[in-house]
Amino acid sequence: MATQQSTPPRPDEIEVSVFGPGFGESVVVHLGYGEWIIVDSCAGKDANHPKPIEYLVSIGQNPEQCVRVVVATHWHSDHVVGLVEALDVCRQAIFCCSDVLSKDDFIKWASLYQEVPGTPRGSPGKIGQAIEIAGRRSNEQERGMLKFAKADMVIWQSAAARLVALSPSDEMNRRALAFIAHEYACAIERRAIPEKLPSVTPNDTAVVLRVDAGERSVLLGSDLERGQTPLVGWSSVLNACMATEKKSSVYKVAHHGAESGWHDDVWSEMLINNPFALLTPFRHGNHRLPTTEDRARILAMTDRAFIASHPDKSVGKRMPKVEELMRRTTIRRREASDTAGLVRWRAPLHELTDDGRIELFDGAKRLS
Amino acid sequence: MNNSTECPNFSAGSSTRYAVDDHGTFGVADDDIREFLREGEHTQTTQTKGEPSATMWGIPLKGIDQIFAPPKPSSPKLAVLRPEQIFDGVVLTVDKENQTFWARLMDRTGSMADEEAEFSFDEISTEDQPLIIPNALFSWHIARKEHNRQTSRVSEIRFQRLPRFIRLSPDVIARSAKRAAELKKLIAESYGYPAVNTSQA
Repeated sequence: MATQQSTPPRPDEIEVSVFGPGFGESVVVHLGYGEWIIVDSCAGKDANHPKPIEYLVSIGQNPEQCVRVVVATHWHSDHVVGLVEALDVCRQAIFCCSDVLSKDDFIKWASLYQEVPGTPRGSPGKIGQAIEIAGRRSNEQERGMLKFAKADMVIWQSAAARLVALSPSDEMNRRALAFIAHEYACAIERRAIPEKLPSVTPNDTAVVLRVDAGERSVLLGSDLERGQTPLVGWSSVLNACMATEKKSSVYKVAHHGAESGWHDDVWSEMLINNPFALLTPFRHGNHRLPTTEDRARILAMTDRAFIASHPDKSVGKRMPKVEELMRRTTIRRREASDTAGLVRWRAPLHELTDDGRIELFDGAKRLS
Repeated sequence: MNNSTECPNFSAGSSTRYAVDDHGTFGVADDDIREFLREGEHTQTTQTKGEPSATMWGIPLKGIDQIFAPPKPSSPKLAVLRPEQIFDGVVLTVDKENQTFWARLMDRTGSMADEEAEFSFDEISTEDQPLIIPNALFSWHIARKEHNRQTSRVSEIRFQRLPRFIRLSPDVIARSAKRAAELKKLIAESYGYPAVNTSQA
């Protein structure tokens, strides 16, 4: 039975809510009995109002008390907008990011970005800020509120649920650290930092998570890519001890459904047949994911795939003469991605005969 | 093109020049206006303002101040630009091979939703084309242009001149080193506290 967006889940229900405005991604998970986690963040009405916080408040939850973990899977700007603000609100939450981000070179590099105002919003500085908040929180609460994830690590657990990291592997960390050390050395040598960060390598450090709650498991693929060797990317995840101990019925598809994030064995070894596949689109300039081929590949594996918003939207109209000139000046136009669509899956924690239900809000749709 | 000719019968008796431009706008050469005004100053002392006192091509002149005040310069008129749409733009991606780029457009004149648009490099001045890089900022003005009683619409895209790198002063580097040391200390201290509901597999 369909419910309103503002209806909270029942205490014995698991919920996975995936937000995707087109450029940005956030996942909010109800582990049951009022405990929540936030994985990555995107903007709500603006960057100072994180979507996951807006959502939790809208369904009557108190993020200050109910959020147990805030995870930054990697530092790409489409995953960390509003992250610091969200962590600031969630006073009882531990902060978790990739293990490589605890290393000296990253800390020094992030500190450079923190000292320069106006640096890119997806900068390492955001992660540095979040680490600082969590570190101070540890001191205040005298509890370890910082967690640096690596493969086969339990990030958080309670009597009924746990959050498991399946990446990064040691080799992923080693490569990422080499990249970071190089970037830091270059910054110091030239006494300057680039306005635009190198964009590909951070996917090598992406934290893949599995949520085990009640009888359910959910795989959150972040932006992890396949990797060129068995030691990195999805191949390394499949080699992790905990990766295949439970099959997930819900999959937040990796890297917006891109071919680069695809690994056949993920579908056969880590997911049940015909799982729920939840996606966020990626619209940034001429990059657009998932492509038609990506969608076809996913739909060949499941007929229960949903996306938070459509990759293409038409734009509103202005004065006819202005419109005409804009049309002549540009090659193509589309509405920028701002409204975060929501795909929500809810299911009983313990009744596996009930597959649960999907609800679509704010432009979310079935993948086609 | 303006066509100049001699005016054969100016009321003061001397010949003068006038001009008709492409749009039929009538103009009198500045020197002749000044000369005529000087002559008018002489005659105005004896005439009543507004009363016909002279003729031009047989047409009675009602008064020098009405005919020639304010004097109309014959130099080219400045065009008037009335902005109708202004966007702040940010370059998202650049396709150098096809000489195009995508940009996010933020409406500065209204409240329309942000847009993304693809432009050809041809729309950008040669001078600005080297500035087309990801994250570059530009403004796009669309305006109604009024010039010589003609109306048209014009579009101009201008890029901001910004450095691609952010300079780090010695002071910034020193502060960041201090910050990094504090952050490392925080991390180390955090390891010393009991973990919150976690365990190593």
